[in-house]
Amino acid sequence: MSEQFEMAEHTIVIERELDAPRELVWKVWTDPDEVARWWGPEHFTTPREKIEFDLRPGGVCRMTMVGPDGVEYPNDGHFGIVEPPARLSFGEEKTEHPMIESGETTVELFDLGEGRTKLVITARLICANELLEMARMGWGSQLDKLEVLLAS
Amino acid sequence: MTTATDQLSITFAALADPTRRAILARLAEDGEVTVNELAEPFPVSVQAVSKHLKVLERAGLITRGRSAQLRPSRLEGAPLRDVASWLEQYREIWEGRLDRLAHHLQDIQRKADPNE
Repeated sequence: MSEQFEMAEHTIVIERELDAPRELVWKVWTDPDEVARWWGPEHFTTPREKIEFDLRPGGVCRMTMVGPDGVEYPNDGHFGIVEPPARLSFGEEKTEHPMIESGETTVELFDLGEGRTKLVITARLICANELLEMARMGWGSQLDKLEVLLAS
Repeated sequence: MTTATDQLSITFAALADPTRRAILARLAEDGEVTVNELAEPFPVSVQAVSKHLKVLERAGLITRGRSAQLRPSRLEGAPLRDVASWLEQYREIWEGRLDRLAHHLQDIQRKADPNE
């Protein structure tokens, strides 16, 4: 490809309140036996034998997701922050996307009392400005509308 | 052989130019537009716009009328949506993951406390 993209950092923040105490949320997030049971993503599995955690700053964070067609998507990264039971970060999640290089994800757990926990995920992606511009303009949903318009 | 990634690269290369992105935005709003109409708002010649349209057509981002003399251009949504919706999909993956996390937490707490 002759044209180069200008890469910029983009942050996605996702929040969720969970009916579980903070220590339990931390365990489920950092114990490979537990992670294998929910990481996914949808229609994918992350088998236990394909998860390797060395839970300390700089330690390996390896997990391979297996698609519905059996194709494997390995992630080979490292832990950054490891502060139980409050903060965890891991990085260098690989993507297949040529406009996105790599990123670091931080997970923060806040004790809400009464056995509830607020989870805040901050995913930092390095992506091309062009992609961000299109996302900002809502291209994805705009195209859905256009398709309906053209089909009518 | 053309892989999915090659197709994405072609799409991205076509999108790397601001004039071409503006052309796509115009097509997204107006549906079918001729080259003369497209050239109007840009400080470039009709010939230059024609060249941009060729790049967009090769990338599969637009199709152009064959029979009509004016050959109006029209946006093709699929390749562009693959690109543009990536960040939305990324968020959806996380939302789905957190749904499963919440269910898993429910399960293990129910098992730990059978009286509940």
